[in-house]
Amino acid sequence: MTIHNLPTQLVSRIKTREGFIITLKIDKKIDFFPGQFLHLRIDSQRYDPLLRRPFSIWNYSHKNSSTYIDVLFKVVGRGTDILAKEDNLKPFVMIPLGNKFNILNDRSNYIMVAGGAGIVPFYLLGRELVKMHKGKVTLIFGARNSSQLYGLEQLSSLGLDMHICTDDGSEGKKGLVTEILDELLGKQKTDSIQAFSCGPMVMLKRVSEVCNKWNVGCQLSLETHMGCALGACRACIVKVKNKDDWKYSRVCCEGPNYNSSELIWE
Amino acid sequence: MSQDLSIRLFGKAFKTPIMVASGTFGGIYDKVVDLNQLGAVVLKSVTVNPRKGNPPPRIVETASGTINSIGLENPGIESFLSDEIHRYLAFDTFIIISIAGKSPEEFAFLAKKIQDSDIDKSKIAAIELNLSCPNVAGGLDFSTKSDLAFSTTKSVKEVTKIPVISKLSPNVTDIVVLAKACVDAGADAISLINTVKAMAVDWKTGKSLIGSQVGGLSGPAIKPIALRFVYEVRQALPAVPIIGIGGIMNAHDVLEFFSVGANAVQIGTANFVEADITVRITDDLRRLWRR
Repeated sequence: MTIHNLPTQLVSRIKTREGFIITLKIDKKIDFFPGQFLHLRIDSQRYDPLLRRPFSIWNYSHKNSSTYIDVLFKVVGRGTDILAKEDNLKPFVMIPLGNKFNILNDRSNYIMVAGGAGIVPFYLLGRELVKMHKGKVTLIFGARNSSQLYGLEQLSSLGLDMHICTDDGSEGKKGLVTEILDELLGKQKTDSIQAFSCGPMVMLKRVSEVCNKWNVGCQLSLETHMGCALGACRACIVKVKNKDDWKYSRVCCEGPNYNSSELIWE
Repeated sequence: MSQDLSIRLFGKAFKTPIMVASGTFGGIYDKVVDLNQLGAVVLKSVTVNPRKGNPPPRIVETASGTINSIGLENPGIESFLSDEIHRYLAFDTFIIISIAGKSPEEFAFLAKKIQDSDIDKSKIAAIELNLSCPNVAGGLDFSTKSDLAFSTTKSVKEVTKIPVISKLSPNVTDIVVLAKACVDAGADAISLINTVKAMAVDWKTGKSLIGSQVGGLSGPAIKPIALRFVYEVRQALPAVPIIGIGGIMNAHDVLEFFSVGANAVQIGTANFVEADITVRITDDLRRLWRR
């Protein structure tokens, strides 16, 4: 697959709860698969901030010969702060990067488990799974509070079986996504299920444990500090099993999606 | 009109003076960059045995720079020579192999392995001695102690006919002493600088933002430091080929390094910012460079 590095135009910015969705226009038709990401140079007119930032692709569409890419993010540092506030940016985007989710076609039930900003890869995946229409597509989406249920309004139109929860009970059920997951998996035939999850590492670890308990395969979409996104700098690594030993795997190239059984938790 | 950018270094003709710095290039960069347009590709440092590298986080951004501590993750010399290097031999560009040892003997062992291997030596422009990795225990000693820099360079020169570049660290009191030691030992060129030892912390947790606590600063933030070092070495050693490294982001930066005495440059962190930056800089240099 060709990797493009292209100038973009920041055409819109909307708030979604405490997060933002920006739309970037590229004068080229490019397709993405659910689970892939982009590497964004926030403003090509300056060296500070310097490095690119990796973002999951929330949604995209084509119009004429252009691609409109929606990026959902929350402000976590200087880069995202600029992206949330400033106009007249000249962003450059390197796309598409990383491996797609490996959707198992022989399943009839798909469950996506998201925590906070970990929701981002599941708009495209949810849309794709509903389009394939093999059966039920469930989303369990949790956050600390309702202000961190990013993109919830947009997700509502996809036709997913939605389960919402918050730590403080400010929206949806009070509790954790893993409690809902455990309950749902306990109620159905699990050999027809494939699970996907994205969110904080502690949550992903617990999701893996629950999936393991019910013998359900789960793919995890990971985020790490990234440098080049092209496999050279070896900054974005995660520990994976390697026969009787372990090794570091590059999230940008070998990931960002891993089977939960591959990972080593610390 | 297209300006000829070719240069000669240690008896070899390079297409351009633009090289990519060790550790900042590889992976799938060949999908994004036309390697044939580069003067040379300096590969990530290789060690005697495979190394898993340092714990994450391995990179953090600071003002106009980044601090990294990768810890020389690499497959080891055997796998490097039988597998990894072949990906680059296919291109019409010079390769510079960076080696890192724990002793002069290890450096010599690595150089001999390369010398004795069946890879096409005409493609190997040089061996670069990573005397200065700040992210490995003991790794800095080679470039802070002139006797070690001397004996390491000498022991490598004794076992290989391939030109040798000694890469120096900025984390020293007097760079000239180190540069002279390497040249006296027979180094064919000096490259400088490696990263500047540095740290970033989160005051809320009181913890370092780098897994191994401290790392090496690179990027535009260190360019003025690098220029000063190149200048000092050039003043003291008028004849030795110097490859300038440190924060180069554009063709103007390259020309600044030439102004203080560099014969060629390596581009590192900028590859993370724009993957094809070397090709863009090369194009700009054709317009700007008055030889």
